[in-house]
Amino acid sequence: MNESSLPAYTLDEARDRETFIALTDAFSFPGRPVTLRPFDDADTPVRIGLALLDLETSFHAVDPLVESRLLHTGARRVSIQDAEYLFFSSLDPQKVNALRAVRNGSMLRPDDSATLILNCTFASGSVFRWTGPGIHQSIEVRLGAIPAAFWTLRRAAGPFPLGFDVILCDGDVIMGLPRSTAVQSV
Amino acid sequence: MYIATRGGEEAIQQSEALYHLLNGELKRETVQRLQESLPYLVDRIMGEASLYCPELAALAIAQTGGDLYEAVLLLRAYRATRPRIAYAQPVHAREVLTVRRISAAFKDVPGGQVLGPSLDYSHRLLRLDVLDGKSDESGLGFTPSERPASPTYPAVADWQRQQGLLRNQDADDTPAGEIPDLTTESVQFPASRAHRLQALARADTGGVLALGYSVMRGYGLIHPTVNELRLGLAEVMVQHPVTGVTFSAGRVRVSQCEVVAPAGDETSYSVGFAATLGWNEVKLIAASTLDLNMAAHDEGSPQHPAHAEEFVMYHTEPVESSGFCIHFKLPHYVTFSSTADNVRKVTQAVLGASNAAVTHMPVSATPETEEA
Amino acid sequence: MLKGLVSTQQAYSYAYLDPYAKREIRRRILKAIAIPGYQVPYASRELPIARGWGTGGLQATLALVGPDSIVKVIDQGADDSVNAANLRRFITRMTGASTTTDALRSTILQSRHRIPEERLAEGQILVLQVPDPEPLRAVQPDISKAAQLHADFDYGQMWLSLYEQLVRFGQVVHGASYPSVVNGRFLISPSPIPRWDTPKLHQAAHLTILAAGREKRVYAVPPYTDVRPLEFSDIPFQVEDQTGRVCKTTGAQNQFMNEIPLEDGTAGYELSDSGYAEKLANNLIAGPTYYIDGAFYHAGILRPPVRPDELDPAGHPPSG
Repeated sequence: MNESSLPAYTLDEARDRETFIALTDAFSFPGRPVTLRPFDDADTPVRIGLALLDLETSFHAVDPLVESRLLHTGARRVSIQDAEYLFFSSLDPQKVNALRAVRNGSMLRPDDSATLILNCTFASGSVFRWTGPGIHQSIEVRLGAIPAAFWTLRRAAGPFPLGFDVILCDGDVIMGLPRSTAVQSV
Repeated sequence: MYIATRGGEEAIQQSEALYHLLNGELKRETVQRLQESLPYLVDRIMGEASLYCPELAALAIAQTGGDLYEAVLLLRAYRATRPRIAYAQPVHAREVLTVRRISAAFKDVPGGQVLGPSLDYSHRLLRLDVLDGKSDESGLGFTPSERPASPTYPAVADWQRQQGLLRNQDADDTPAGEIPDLTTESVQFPASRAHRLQALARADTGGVLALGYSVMRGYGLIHPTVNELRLGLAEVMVQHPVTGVTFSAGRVRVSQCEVVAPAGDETSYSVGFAATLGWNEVKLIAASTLDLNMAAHDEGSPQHPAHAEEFVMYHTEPVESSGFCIHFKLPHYVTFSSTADNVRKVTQAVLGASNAAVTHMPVSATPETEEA
Repeated sequence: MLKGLVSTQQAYSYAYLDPYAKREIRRRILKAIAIPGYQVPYASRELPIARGWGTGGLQATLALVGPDSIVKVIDQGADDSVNAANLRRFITRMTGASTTTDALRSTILQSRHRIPEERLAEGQILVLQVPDPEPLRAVQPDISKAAQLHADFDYGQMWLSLYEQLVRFGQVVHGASYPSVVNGRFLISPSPIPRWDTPKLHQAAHLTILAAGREKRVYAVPPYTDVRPLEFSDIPFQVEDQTGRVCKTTGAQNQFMNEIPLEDGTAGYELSDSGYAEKLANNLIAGPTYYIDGAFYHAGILRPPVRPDELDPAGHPPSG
């Protein structure tokens, strides 16, 4: 390597890194909206997939367009019960039911569990109070387009450290919902 | 871009420069001579680095002035930056161009006992006359035979299987891309067979020898029999990802060793195995012995650290063990002061309040002498 | 035919880590934040720096850093330690990031064995270098058995070893890396930071990532998360006694000091946190510190530190 030349910080590097930093912020401060700086035409869930997936990971996507873009990362497309990363562009009670098969980890390997990337809306819907790591005392979060059955499913996936982790997406804004967060209806 | 520079950086640069100054100039010719005249050292480094490139191994040895752990680290760090293009096809011992093949289990075996290049039966006498300027004629005694030796030899183990002496095992036909790879995954215990064999393949020669020796001496199985030891050259066959054509990416020196001992129930022999890039006999005999020994204790509780897979795999890792060992040279004064705090508090509690101000009391360099 | 498959490009990837290594550690860091205190196994690539010398912390930093990052690297609290200087040099060489000695200006702070005195803020990331991630090592050397104890939430052996110290020595004699429980569930080694620094992890505004390269584990303490050192209800957790220690350069007191043996047999003291010392020495405004005038930031997590002359004849601190 030429001693004086800096490795290139390409657009792809920048996009993936900024996505990763946004995810780090989202999981560090659950319930706080984090805005992604726009890059090319990739939707937020696809951007998240591009930043995290490659041939060493597995995924499941309901939307065929999302799926085809994610296949290009080399990641293996698998069933809901085997996937490490799941991409749901919308949720209805039927899809929530399908999510019951999702990986919740084991006591020995709680990290061997799924990460869900879900589209929803932050502008309307029910209000919840979130508490737990990353949240100073508590935070109120408004979420729409998420069936009530999802919260039941999430509770059943625990207790901590078992469970799955969620990244909520609304346009360019994401919000982290790690399994460590306690969610109460307000 | 603002860089905060301190005196420490200059010290590092000077330290590194001094090291290289004392080793003499690093020249291409030196690297070439090293590669030509020290093939076993080059092989050992390549094996422990799990990276086959004799030129780079020779460079690493020259660049570090012969500090072998540093040389292995250089190669491993370089290996970590290399792109992975394809998986080679499996190499079968029966097809390897074999230059040396011996079995201690039988006086003679199908294909014969082939000594090949070896110092085993040499007299270990220093060639002092070389220092007097006499040229080296030790290779001149070699007479090529009229009939070339067979490039391949049947496996001793195959004969034993036919005799029912070895337990039959189904061949593992896992596709290459799905074989666990300990360079890209974290190892969980109990380790998969692939992880264990890979760990032994690139284990520290000295570490494996120490643990293997303990087993041979009696902390485990006694006197494993070397079923077969092979040194050879293997073709690395790769399939082109687009055209599908299979071609050879080159030829690498490989070595392998099988040891056997009667199984616990005495109805067959158990086998231990190890293989590595390059030729490294002492490591392979010790490593295959460890493999056999670990297998014997996999189910039960190990009586000795050398029987435990976790112990063996963790402590024979050259980069990790040497790195951690020398890390003790780093400043540890914060943790030291934390323990000093405890020592002082306990001392105070034991000796009583009169020593409460021990941190402020001057400590004499010499013991007080009594007044005469 | 082989040549057609390889590019002749010799350049390194941005931040040195190849894309696979970068993505893998990024995935693991996210899981670590989601499961506070749990040691996430990862593949941990070899770097051009020896194992045991900070490759874990370095991989975490390299996964996070960008050209606009401001990086502070310290060892034993000092920016100018040769090891810190070496790591800093590698980071800037591979990323073009800026560096600083000011803890409050840093966006990423990589540290070996100290947490700076000034309180870090939201958005800052503290990366701690960890030699041994397993807090149960002394009572259970086998990694697989220790993993089972964590899974079972069975830390009895650890409590027992602390109790045995109490019986033998009249106090807990655990030095640095004091075992602490994160989010009420996972016991961690907070890395070999002095006990002095352990309370700084509790309900902090910043994210802490702890990475062990050689042992191949990464774990995290998210912001605003409970971190409680193991202590018995009647024997309070004690930090290193800094009573009477005055920094000879800045005159500061009640902060963690390095003890410097002097030729006349006495000891001199100086602030271990060199960035903080630099501010005081130059009459610059330093941020609020965790330990101010003898009180910890989070009242209630610890009793005030006990001075040796306050111990009763049995060696116990005064009750109440």
